[in-house]
Amino acid sequence: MKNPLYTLYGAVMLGGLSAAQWLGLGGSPVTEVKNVPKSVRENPGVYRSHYAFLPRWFGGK
Amino acid sequence: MRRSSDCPGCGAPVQFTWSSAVQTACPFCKAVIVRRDVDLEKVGEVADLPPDASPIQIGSSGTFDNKNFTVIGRLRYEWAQGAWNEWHLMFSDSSSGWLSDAQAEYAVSFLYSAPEAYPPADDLPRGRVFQISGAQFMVTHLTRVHYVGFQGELPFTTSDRSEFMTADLRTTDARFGTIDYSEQPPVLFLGRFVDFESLKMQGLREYEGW
Amino acid sequence: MVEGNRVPAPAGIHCPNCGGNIELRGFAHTKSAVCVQCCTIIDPSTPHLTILQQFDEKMRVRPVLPLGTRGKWDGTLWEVIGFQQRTITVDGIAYSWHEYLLFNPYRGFRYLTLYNGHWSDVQTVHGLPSFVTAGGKKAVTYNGATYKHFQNAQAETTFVMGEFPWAVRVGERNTVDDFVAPPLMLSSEQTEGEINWSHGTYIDGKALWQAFQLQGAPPQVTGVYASQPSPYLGKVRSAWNTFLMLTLAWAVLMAYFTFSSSDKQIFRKAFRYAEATPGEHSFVTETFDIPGRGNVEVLIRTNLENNWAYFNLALLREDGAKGYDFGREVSYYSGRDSDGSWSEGGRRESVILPSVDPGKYYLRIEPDMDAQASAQAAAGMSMNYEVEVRRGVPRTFLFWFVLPLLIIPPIWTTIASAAFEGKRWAESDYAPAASEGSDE
Repeated sequence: MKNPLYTLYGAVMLGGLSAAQWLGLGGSPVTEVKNVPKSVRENPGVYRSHYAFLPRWFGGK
Repeated sequence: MRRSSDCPGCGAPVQFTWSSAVQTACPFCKAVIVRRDVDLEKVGEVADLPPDASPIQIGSSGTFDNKNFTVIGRLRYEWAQGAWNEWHLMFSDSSSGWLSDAQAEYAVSFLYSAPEAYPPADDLPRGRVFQISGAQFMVTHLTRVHYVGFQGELPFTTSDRSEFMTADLRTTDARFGTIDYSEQPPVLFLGRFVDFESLKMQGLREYEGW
Repeated sequence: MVEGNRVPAPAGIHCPNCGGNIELRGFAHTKSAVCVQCCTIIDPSTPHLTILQQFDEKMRVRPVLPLGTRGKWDGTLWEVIGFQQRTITVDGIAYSWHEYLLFNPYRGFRYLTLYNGHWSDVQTVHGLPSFVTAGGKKAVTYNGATYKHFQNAQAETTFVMGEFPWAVRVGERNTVDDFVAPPLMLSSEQTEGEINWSHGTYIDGKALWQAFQLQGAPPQVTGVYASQPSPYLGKVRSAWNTFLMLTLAWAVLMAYFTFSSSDKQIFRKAFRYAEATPGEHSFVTETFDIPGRGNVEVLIRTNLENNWAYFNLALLREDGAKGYDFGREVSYYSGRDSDGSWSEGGRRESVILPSVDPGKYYLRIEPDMDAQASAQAAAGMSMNYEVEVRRGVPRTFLFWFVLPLLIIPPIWTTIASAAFEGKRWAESDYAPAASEGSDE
């Protein structure tokens, strides 16, 4: 191999890419939540999204 | 052709190594002996050559283009910037050639027989190109040569030599030619530069300290 | 034959000027020998030791390879017998280099040149280089290689020591042209209209020091020499070749991840939202099974027209142990003005959840439209929308992120190589105008 360092660099990049791809990384920003109360099923209104309080963009011209 | 005769100067036996030799020197009385048909004629006396640093000497042998050669004669020349030797080679097939040695740069050449008329040296500009045996030879150096002396057996007589011109011709691939104006019409030698090692020479001189 | 078989070592001479001892090493080749004591050049081949020149002593230069040093170089034993310094003057600045004359009685002469710590091994050329043009520049070809013209200069001999097989003189000037094909260099010297060529090979000073068993280290190397081989020689091309291979591997990986993705729809349902409907707007869907492994895409498609909606979404596991909480705004505006028709935003939105464990999940959906708007307008606000959940959606985003990273090394090598060549040619007759100007 003429460029051992570059080849190694490329292999690491592609390896990392494959691993990230395998793990499904690089998705949209979402918040992982734990221990969601079961009551959400019965009463969806009690659950408040983390995003509900964020400033929103009120689009349009 | 007899290989041995008596020296016309001192009567000592003179041996010819090469059957076609025309001139040699008597090792005993230093007579310059020229062979005309079967007779030997003394045309002068050899002068001692100045000290020389060439590793080659008469009797050295070597190989060129898979042919073995023996050094049987030598011409010594001078020019404005130094001196060099033309060693006369006798090949195993009895042909003859020249090994020139100028400050330990070596080249082997042969008389080129195809006739061609060369302009006089005065009319030969540097850069002029000759088409010879399929290659382009360019005139690179014009040299006024002074004949110093000889040793051993030669294919011609040097008794009439003193000063003459030569034109050096070069090719792109380290071949060379020399137009030699010492004869009329001028003659051409063609050859190439050689690596000293490639000649695999034996019987060389040794140098104190080396 | 009268001639002896052994050549005696050359006897030293006494300087006819100062009487000092002059050692000789070049046998009968020597045409000039320098008396170091009084800087006199003598022809030792003449019986009365003709003085060729006496030169100015203040220009004394110390050779880094001492005269008499022997070393095995390129398979042959060589002895340093002569030293000269030669100088060219460009724009009023003098540049000097050393030339060491090496001698072996069987192999003749050879030169080592030293400039700014850069060494070249130089020999006489017997063939005839042919003048050509290469890329619009003057060049010569010799033995199949093309040498580009580098510099034309008047070289003046500024100091000599030791002995030479020609009549050397301080102050002598020759027209020198250098042609380079790193690590090789062809130089022509014109003397009285005749051109003589020599061929140099760039060599490592350390190898020389080892061959000649010299103490200490060779002189410090500075700058880039005309025939110095580029450290990037061949690397630019091979770096691009490697890039090509890596890109191929990159494309194969992308194809693999694209085609191996399950990309399966696991939930799809249409809903309607009306702001006027009283009560809680949030609701949950029925549970659905997310199988296998990989990411999960949640797609929202609406029929919004000149309006926006906000979706608070949560993909929650049925057992409540885990969930993904996210929100997306969907807005679509369009119209027509003097520039023609326009549109902004989109009617659909997609969210990718990375690596969702398999299991039973449900969605909590909380749509929201402009509650702050006037009650009348809000009352009329409604939309139809559809939510779809897909498993194992192929994603190429990361691939496009990695590709520019892969191309950095060949680009860097290309730039570094060009910079090295720039430094080389900055010393030549073909230096760019900018660097010539900065010399002023």
